[in-house]
Amino acid sequence: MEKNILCGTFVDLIPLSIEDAELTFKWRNLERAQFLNKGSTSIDQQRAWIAARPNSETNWIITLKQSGVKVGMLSLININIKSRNAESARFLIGDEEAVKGIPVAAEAMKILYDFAFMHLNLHKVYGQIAATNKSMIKWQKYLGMKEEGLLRQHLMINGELQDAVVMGILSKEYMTSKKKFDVLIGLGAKNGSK
Amino acid sequence: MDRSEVLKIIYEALDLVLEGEEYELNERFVLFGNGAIIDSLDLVSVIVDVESEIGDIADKAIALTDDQALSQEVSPFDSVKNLADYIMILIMEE
Repeated sequence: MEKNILCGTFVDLIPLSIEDAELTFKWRNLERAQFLNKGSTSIDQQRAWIAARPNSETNWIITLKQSGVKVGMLSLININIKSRNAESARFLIGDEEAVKGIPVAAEAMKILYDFAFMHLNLHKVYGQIAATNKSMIKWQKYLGMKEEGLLRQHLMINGELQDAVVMGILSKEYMTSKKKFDVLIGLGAKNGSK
Repeated sequence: MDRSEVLKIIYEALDLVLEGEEYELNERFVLFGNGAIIDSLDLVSVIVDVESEIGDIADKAIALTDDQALSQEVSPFDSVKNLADYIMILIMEE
């Protein structure tokens, strides 16, 4: 859907392309990707999956602005223009080492929200997080998402069905929590993150 | 609440996110920026835990990510020392 690069202070969000198949396939097989849905089983399958992304979603590669290094991925899917909502998904930092000391995750999510609420004029962004992924639930709550419910035995992770916590943020709530994103990014700049 | 209690809370929050890493916690430990070994996901986790624990023990809500933090001459997240000093300032404020 979105073909433009979205720019931040530390990171840019670059539209996912077929050339990213090998890298994203590698990331999706990391242990830290265990909370994402089961992905492709080969690079060729990953290429086909990328090529088949529908217009109702936008997938990005998170790239460090200064070095151009690709460090993760993030998506806005199920974009519903009529009901003005969309789902944030496939959020994964693949290169943990490269992002230490840099507000990469916070800025990537802020760019996604800015795109959703200001560019697409959506009313709400929601997401599903595995109930066992406590640190992501904590992170999203701190940055403005609210718990909206629980989908019981909803996600198959490591061969076991797990509950999914449904979280969401409304556009007006984002206007309040945006300050926290700005401060985290501002502190990153102050601390000399690169 | 004294500074040593604040340090203990910061160290406990860091211990949680540093599981599996090799590290030495002291007041020079870098939280954010060059030389840091945690990322912004971990940093937010530390902030949440520290804000919550200080709020409970000192019976006072503190916010570590607001304009006041950003306007400090030395960033509170440069090091554990600066964060502890900054929290002491917030606790002492009327």
